[in-house]
Amino acid sequence: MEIPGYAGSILFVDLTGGKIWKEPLEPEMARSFLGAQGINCKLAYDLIPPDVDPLSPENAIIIGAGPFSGTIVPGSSELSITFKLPLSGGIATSCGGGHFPLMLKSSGYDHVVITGQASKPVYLKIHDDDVELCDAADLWGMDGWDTVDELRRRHEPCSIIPIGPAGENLVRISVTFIDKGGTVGYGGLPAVMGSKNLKAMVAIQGTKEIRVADRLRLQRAVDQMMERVMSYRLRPTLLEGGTYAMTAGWIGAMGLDTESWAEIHKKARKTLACPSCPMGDKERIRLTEGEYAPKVAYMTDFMGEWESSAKTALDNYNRAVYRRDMFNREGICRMNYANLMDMIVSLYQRGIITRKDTGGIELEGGADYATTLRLIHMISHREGFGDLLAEGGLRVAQRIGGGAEKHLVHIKGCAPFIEPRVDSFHSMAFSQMVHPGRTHYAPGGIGIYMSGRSIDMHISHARRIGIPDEAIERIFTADSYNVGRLTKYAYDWYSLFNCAGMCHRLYIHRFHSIESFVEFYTAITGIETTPAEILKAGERAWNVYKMLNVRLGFNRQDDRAPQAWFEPFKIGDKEIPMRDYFGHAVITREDTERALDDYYDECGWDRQTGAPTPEKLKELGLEAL
Amino acid sequence: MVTTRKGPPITVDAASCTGCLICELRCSLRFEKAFNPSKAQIVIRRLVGADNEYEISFTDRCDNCGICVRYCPYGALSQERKESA
Repeated sequence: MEIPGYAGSILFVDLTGGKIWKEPLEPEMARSFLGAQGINCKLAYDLIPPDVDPLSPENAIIIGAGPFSGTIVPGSSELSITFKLPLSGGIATSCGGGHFPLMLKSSGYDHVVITGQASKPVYLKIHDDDVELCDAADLWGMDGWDTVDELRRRHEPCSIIPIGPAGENLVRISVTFIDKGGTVGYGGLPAVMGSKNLKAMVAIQGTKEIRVADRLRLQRAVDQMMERVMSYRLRPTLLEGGTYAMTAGWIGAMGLDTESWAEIHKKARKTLACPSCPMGDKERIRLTEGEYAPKVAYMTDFMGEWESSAKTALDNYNRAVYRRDMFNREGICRMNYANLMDMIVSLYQRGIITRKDTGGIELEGGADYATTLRLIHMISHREGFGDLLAEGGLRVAQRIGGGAEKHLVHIKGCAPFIEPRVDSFHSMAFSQMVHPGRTHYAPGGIGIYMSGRSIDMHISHARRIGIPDEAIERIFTADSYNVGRLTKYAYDWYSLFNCAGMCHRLYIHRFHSIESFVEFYTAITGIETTPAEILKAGERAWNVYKMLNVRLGFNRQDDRAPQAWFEPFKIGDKEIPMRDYFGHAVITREDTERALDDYYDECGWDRQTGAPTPEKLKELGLEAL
Repeated sequence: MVTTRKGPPITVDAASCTGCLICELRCSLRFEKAFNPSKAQIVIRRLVGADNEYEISFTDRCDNCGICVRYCPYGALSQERKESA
């Protein structure tokens, strides 16, 4: 019997043989792993062979929508995509917001599993039972945005996940977007698509209805939340200025003229939103004057501009927009690019690499604006020096040799986003170490654990996300908290959101609680549950995710903090050491190792290996793994 | 099919539409007791080639009930209040 809230089917696509079929989503699978990331990971465990090359036909791209997606639960449009990452070699899930989950479920599918390799460029079109591999010869070579525009001309109303040149050329630091909006595929999804000759995935609005168990109960719960959303004091600020307005302090910290930037930005932007979202933060930018005008660009956020631009011109709004748009169009991850270039410039300044290695590109003072644009193109097309850089930081370091890896700040070969020396060693910083298969920084809601919040605020948040009282006793003291133990529960909550298909940006996440989650889940699925039961499901899904990577050989060593974190961060004349959340003490290697001990202990995982114990797996009903 | 419109006319400010489709989802829930934007009586259409500009229209089954207006979070829809009987 189908469970309300689910479309009820998994779509399978074998690109090699062109075979397409669907299978029912088993209710037991939905009950145990909820949906989206949870079911994706279970499918990945069964379908992605551990020793597979990420760029071989045997790797699978597993797409998942959650039971909340396609409904009116605020912020319920997060898509999960699970695959083996070309950058890290781990199996990880990337989540992004957009219309894809709604469109997919309206055609009757909760998940899509894509394997094999097409003999020529194709794109996948999904429209009810009309699922087809369409010729993409004329699209091959187009950038991501042009691909979306062309496919919209053919298939509107639809949602599109395209790849640009970086994906076609198997760039490991590639990333893509849903509908020119939500970032998805950190760690090289576009390269996996490129290796399969898959130019795009298109979900056309279908005719299937998404039914829920108790629509009146759902409406009541949504209405209550919407009242709070609409009266949120920072909502007008977000809608006027987008993520830039929410992160302007970061850009201001660079000493730039944020006031004039803000004014230009407000005039240039139009808010775009994912389905069901009253806090839309995607945006279209229209440059009407100045350099590059007239031009339309799409920005997912300005948060990354400072770190991807530390050595380039950020004092010119149009240039910042143009550069970011170019990253997006070509399909290069700005985080991994910036991380890689930090190492490359450092090596150049030390003479470990020279102009001969860079093909004549001068990097003594860093990569300036023009050089950055040139490098983006060279990487996405694998031209000259760009062919090497396309391999990503760790592989580049290993090829250069001479101790180059010491100059790369990485976790599992991936770029950390949060710099704990500038901020602090809080739960978001630590979470980057222990995320399975890659690095990640947003457990329990992006921003929730950033600096400046009191212990009382943390405890209030802990109760909101359902951390049991006895665990709160273990985690919090009068003037501090245990980073490792808190992160365990932050990830259970994050897992729950990803399994349901929920956005975890702070300004959506802040309106939700474990009680509201249970209410939505029961209203949608008809399954009565409790906070403890539903959190257990989130934990179960997280343990499958972990076991996927344990099976690949990832262990405690891969979860360790980068050595660079124990050396002072230099900004001008300042040297900043990594400190704990409240700035009481400098964090040492022993502290980060203790945090790992505590995290594993709280998870019920083995401290030596970092893997779930047989007892924990049995408790979660996962003894077969 | 033509029906008598019960409520006052709905005014559209398409430039404010963000494509969140909350109006279509709410409308389809009212008419079909289930979610699917294509079953809604309000139609949000992204204009091809116009970089996320939207056109908003209503089917003949729309009775101006105003549910779309009530739930639009971006001010793209408005409706004069019904006069009391």
